[in-house]
Amino acid sequence: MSLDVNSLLKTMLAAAKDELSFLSEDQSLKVTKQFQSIAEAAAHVEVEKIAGTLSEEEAGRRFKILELESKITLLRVKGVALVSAERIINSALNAIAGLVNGVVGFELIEIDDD
Amino acid sequence: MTWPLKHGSVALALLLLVSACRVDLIAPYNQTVVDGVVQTNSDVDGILTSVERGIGIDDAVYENYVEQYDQLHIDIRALILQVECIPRGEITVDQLELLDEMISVIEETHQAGEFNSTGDIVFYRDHFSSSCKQIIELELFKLMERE
Repeated sequence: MSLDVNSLLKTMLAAAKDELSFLSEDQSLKVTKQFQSIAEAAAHVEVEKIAGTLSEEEAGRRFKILELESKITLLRVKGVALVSAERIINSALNAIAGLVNGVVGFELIEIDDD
Repeated sequence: MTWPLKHGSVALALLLLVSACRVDLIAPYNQTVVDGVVQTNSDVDGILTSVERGIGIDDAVYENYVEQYDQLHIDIRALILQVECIPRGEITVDQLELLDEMISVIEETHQAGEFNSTGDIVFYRDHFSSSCKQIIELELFKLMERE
């Protein structure tokens, strides 16, 4: 059986469909690109194995590199989501700060000038 | 009977939340991280380029690069220590630890004598560089969003 990059990619995307739906288009694209790298690497290992140019140990190391890169990419996605969430909360607080502070008579909500 | 208490708790929680003013969920932009990761990428690239030029000759053997690998690990651990001292810096710490692990895998590959062609080197260089880029992009995103 021969490995097909598109088919592997489709399987991975289908498995992560629900999680990907929470991400922005840009972040989802990052993850998809990472999946594509993994699918291509798997297909490449098959080609090199047939050619006898890649040892099992080396194939394992290459996959380890892809796994580590994927984790770094997912942490980036998580970080971007946290920064975005932070911005949403702070914008909402800023939006009501003037009104609330005026009514209660003291600075209950500090206005963020950043 | 429990209503006033419940309402009071909610109000207190809201007051505490709002009194916290600005909500910070992740450490702010850190120029040291960007500089450190750019330097690490450059150092790894330096080793791999040198090995690439020396493929097939004795100069490229792992033993000639042990000190450089040691220095890479020392530098990245020093950077991790710095970021560990910053509140909410866990994501960057995790990323840097993974980057250090990547250096170990590159080192193992070199030690196993598996850098036999430009293609071998390019694989490691590209994926290491792409990982560094992810860390830098997160820092720059923080900078842009908080401006």
